[in-house]
Amino acid sequence: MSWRRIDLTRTVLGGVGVAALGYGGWLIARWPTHTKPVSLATWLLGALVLHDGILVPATLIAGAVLTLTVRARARRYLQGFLIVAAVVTVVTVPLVIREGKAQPGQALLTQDYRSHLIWVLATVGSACLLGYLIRVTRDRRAGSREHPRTGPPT
Amino acid sequence: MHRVHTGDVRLPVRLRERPRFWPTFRSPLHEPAVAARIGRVLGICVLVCFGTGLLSHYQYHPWTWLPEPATLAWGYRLSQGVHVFTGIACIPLVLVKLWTVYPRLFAWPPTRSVLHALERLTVAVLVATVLIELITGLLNILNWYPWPWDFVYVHYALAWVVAGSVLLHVAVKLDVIRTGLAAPIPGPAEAPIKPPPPEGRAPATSGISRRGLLLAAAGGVGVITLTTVGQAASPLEPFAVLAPRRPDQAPLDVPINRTAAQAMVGSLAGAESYRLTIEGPRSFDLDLAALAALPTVDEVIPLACVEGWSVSARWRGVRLIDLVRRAGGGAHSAVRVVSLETVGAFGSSIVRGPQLGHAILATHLNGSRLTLDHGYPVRLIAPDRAGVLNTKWLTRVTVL
Repeated sequence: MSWRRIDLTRTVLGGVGVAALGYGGWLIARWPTHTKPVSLATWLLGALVLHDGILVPATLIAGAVLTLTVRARARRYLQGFLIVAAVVTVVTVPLVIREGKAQPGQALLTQDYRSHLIWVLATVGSACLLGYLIRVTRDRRAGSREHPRTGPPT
Repeated sequence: MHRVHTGDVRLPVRLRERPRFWPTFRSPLHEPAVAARIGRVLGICVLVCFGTGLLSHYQYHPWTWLPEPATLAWGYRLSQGVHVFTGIACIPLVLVKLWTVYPRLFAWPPTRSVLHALERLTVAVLVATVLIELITGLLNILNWYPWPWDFVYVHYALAWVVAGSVLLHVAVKLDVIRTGLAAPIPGPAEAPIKPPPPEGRAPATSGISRRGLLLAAAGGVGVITLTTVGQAASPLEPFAVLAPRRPDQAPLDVPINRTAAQAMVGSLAGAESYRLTIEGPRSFDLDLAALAALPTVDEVIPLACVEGWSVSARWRGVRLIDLVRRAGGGAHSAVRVVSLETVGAFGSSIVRGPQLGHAILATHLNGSRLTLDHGYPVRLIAPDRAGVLNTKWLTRVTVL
């Protein structure tokens, strides 16, 4: 792609983006009784602070602790499990909180989300553990091929 | 004061150097090669979610000259399912994407120019709005509204802000994205196999690989989707252990968004004096016996809710168009169906165009007489129509 084409792409994308962004902002300002702009701004700011100030630093600290305490090969699988577990939990926590709070008859939030979450995480954890054990076995085999054991002296 | 020129602004010398206490990030997981790959999937998901969201918005606010089609009965089921499940998939993608680019928050100097400051501000707008849009969208499908604003207005307005900010962000970062996507990310399989270190700790850099992070993100999306999508994709319903709705556990196998108690219609809908009034050039009334005596049709039409659950169901009832013709209208008419419900925003809806010919005033669902919560004594059902627009507890049909 030539630079001229990149500039054109950039101008079009940026122009459409600014227009859409501006339109959304205008809609919020146009319906203040429905959009409650002050509360909305507070929530938006709160989301930024919670995410950037608490959530991400907490994961970075957790990562640093893992680096200090778990060996590299096991850590890879543990990190994989924790990433999946964390995002699944984030999405499921609201369901656990609201479980059973819907009107009877709606068939809404009728499942036992706490137990289901534990089972799902256990399944993911087992898959990660299995992956780790396979890796260990393969590494061991590769290691013994590279350094074949010599037999006992005769 | 002595100043040096960096980029497009003159900075004092003391601001040129990053302060000692300023955080530094060394992990390769924060590289553009990772961010660009997750960003590409996330960007596509956001735009698909936005597009299908607009289709849903159109269901509620159609132009009179372009009515909704009826030929793809499952059209809204598909588009709204895609909307809700790409939205849910965006949650893990956003979290991982923001994690990879977190060091950018601590870029030094914090700003190089007015334009750069503005660009950073638009990133803050993008991050804040995408988080709120996704979280409130998720809580909406649980019918949970712990905020003071009207969800529908803000969800629609913020959708434009999010989509616009994403496009602007892609425009600004275009060359970083290109470089990032072009850079390879070797996985552990391509790394030389080393025997495990005999004793002691491995080097700090050998944790999860960049490819491993992408796989884990994909795994997160996969697990969340597999355990929720069954509330719309019926064959996967047995796996829907984390889905808010389970159609197979609902009365008559169809979930209910608004019960008769919530709509406060219980006594009216069950009253012996109940009449369905059809208003037009030749108005007439039907009591339950007269309604039951009319010729009926039996059809399979999916019911698809804006909240992302949907289910195929068998409906029996009178064709709406037959009653409209008897009242002096025709296929060209616009018809308003009105509920006994007087509270809430969905007490009536308009049927026109192709949907009018296919709409049924249903009295039976999956072989049984409608229950009160499903809209007894009679409700509207039409193909490719948002669930809540299939008005329940009908009392009046007006040919406009």
